[in-house]
Amino acid sequence: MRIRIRSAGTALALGLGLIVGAAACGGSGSSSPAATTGPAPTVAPVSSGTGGSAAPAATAGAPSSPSAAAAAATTDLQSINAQLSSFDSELSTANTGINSTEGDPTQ
Amino acid sequence: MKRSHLAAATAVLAAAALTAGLATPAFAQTATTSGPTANQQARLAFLKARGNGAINVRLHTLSNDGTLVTSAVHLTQSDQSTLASLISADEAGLSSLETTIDNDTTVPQATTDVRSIVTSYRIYVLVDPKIHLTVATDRGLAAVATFQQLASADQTEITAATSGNIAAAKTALSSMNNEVVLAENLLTPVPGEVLPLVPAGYPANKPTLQGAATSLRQARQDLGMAQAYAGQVQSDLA
Repeated sequence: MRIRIRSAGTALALGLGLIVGAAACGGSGSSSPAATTGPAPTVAPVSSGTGGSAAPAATAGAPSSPSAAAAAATTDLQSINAQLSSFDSELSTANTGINSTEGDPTQ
Repeated sequence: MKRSHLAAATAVLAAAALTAGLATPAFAQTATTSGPTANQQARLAFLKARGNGAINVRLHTLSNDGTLVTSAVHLTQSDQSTLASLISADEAGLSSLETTIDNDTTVPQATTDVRSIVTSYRIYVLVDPKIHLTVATDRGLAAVATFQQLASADQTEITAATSGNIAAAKTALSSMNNEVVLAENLLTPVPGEVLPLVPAGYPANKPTLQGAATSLRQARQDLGMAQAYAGQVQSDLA
């Protein structure tokens, strides 16, 4: 199924909604960290302030099992949310500066 | 006797006139070289205070920007180094300018120096936006990298899937990847566009900043769509 969404806000809302759904499905008990061949993925260390850009922890190749892949996908989507939130913040700050003026400090 | 009194009075007047004649130019000269008037001194103090305040808030902004740049790990080493050098140079320049302003002794000197806080640095309208545009690019590229990692995980899921709408998941994954490529192509050139911009080129270089911001907005839209497709993959496989 192909979808086209022209609004970034709509896309984000849809994405968030789907992420919640995906997370719920992934958490149905079909897998456990012990069943995976690698370490359990962790949420990327992206701060809510200035925003970090560190890559997610699960970077060592593709997950080797479907359950691990589902868990990794959920983690990746959470990381993407945080990264894009930080992106939005930085772009907003840049726009504010670009559209501003610096007054004459002698006045 | 009368004659001698008259002569004495004349001599006194003549001496007074001579004294006045000699003293007047001397007094005038003293008045022009004795430093600024009270109004000038007040204006000078005002300019120094305004200058110091303007410099300090800019130094604070640059300090925050330095922290931000350090966290931008997806920038190329060259871009990160360029931003760090820019911040250091501006901090050093503004600190030096602060000393210069503190040592200014005339209003015209101080006026010129205080104005140069804006004209020589353009911290708020150029430097800070450059930094935030570049760091936004870093965040976007970080998301691109995560999407690429996600695509690998999604592919594993699709390959192993035995139920769900597998064909739709494949299509959604392909669409996600296409959007990510579009975003990456918009993001990658931005640092190279904005980092060379200098205060002397402002405001002529403002459209370059605006164009870079537009590219980032378009990239954000692509990444938002990629996000939606990513969710669609999961939902198709559920």
